[in-house]
Amino acid sequence: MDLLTSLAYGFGVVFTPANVLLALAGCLAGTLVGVLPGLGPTATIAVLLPLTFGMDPAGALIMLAGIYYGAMYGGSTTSILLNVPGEAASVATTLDGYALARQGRAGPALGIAAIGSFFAGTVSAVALALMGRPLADVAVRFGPPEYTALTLLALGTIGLTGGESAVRSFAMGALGLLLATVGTDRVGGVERFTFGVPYLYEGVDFLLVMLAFFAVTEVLSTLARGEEGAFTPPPRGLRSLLPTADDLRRSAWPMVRSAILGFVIGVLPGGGVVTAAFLAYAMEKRLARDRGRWGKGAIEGVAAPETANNAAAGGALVPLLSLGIPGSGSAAMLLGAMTITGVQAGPLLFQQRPDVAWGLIASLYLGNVVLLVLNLPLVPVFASILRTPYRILYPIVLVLSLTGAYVTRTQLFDLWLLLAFSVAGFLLVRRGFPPAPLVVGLVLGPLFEQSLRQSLLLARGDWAIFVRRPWSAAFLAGFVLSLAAPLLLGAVRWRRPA
Amino acid sequence: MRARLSGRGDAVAATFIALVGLAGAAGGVSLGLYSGRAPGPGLIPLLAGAAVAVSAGAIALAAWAGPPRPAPPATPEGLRRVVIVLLLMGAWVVLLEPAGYVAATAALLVALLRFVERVPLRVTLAVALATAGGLAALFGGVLGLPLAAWPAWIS
Repeated sequence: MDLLTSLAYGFGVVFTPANVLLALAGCLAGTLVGVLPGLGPTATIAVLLPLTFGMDPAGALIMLAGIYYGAMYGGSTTSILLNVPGEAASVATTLDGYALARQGRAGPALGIAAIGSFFAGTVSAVALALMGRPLADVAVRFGPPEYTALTLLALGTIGLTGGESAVRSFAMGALGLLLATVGTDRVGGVERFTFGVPYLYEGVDFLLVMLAFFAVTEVLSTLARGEEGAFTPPPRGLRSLLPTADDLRRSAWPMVRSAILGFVIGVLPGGGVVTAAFLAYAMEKRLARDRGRWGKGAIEGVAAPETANNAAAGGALVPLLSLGIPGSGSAAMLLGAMTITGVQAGPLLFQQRPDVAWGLIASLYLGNVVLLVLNLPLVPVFASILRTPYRILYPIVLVLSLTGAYVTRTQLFDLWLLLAFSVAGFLLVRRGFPPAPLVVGLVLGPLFEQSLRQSLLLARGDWAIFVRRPWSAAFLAGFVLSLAAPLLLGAVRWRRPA
Repeated sequence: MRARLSGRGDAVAATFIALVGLAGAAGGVSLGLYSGRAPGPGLIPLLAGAAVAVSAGAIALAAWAGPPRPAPPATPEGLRRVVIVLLLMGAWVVLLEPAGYVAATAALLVALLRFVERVPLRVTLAVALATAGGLAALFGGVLGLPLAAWPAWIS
């Protein structure tokens, strides 16, 4: 079958009334559950997986793809409205999305997130069909040195995302990396910084840090300032709640660039939606003419990470479908669902089960259409949450944060940790230390450590391995540039007379 | 001493972070950096800790050397509410297992809404019961997550 025939076959599989309904149900369930803190896309798929038991493989995967996209969008909704990122990939969205919500522009931010997600899904579906196999072949040549350098590049860019001071962002990113080393060392089984507390053996859950440093810290900071309401109420009327022509114009190119970047990063096993979202944010901020708006409510600051993380989610299906390698936690859940329904992912999938392979690719597109149709009319409903008086809204946010922190492991220790991190977050954020780099360091830390140690093992301790391999050297050069750029820009500004 | 530190919040915060970094780096060294030619469990803590110490140390030096910066905006009443909110959250953690999720959550919401925010009693009770009951039903019932809605002696 040629490409067009294959895609047409996939759409034939997907566009049956039953499968369209499954996609719709999946997107709706995913959005509703994804809104809850503590339940990111992977956990949402895990929780809702039993819904697909007994279905045929194509139908089950179509529904799970809908759940996945719905959960991603649900996480963005709370990031924008309440500064509560449902998952690490949404942290970048809070930077400008929440600022827009405070200005009464939650509607356009939610609208751009939906449109960006739809655009990314469309690009992913086409790219997956056109370039899936060749890209997968390149991706498998990436070894630990390349992943080390790529993760380092992502960590380096946090200086460009965090706030006004690149050094403060870097300090917080490194602190996140240090926090990621708490727990049992995965290589040697040695306890690190656990102080004999068994609850710390598994390390510090990034969800606790996210909830503490974003949701609770935001509430405490607002209360400390003595503000009665943190938000400008969103205007009434559908037209004023949707993105303007100017919003769309500003977001168009960031969406195109972020979709490409996100897809390529997503293809790399372990590349991850977090890396994609932060790299896209940093790239667009660097390319922007008026960087002063970033972090204070730039609509492109929502478009870029939302497009990139959705494109990366699509890209993660490349190694899954072509090679049977799950490139992310969510892809691993999809692989599990395939196994449950008796489908073997890998090079033979396209020959043995074309209905599943092409059906899943076509369902990406369907899922994004459904999500757009479902969520644009819901934008006013979501935005109306911000009309609730803040004195009633913030206790609910606190309860949601506490509940999200508890249900993950049902350990009271996690709740005390949440409170401790909340106090730290309140004190540090008030003093201008941005929280996003801390979460990035914490999330990427384990991948960085594992790949660095594997690289040094491969090279018998020779650090030159990172500059001998071309991709690794290129990523390292990018990392050095990302560190040097703020310093050089600072020096230029200092020399230039005011 | 307190007056001298009041304008130096940035410096105090950065110094604290730098000390955490130094402790992490020292902990890394004690864990072992290499085992033969293979990297040991202390290598990343050393690198990360050193990065924290150097960057936060630079911020601290600049902050101690420069003029005192005004504290971020906060009202005495606002700071009092922050402390009360944190104490109430701590009370929720203490109550959660003995009282169950629904009772602990409803109590927290009543305390926050009625006694901290002076929300009318009828609204307070409606919000508290709907939120506590709704979340318990959603997390524990619909999603099947392990959330003890009621105390062990009831269930």
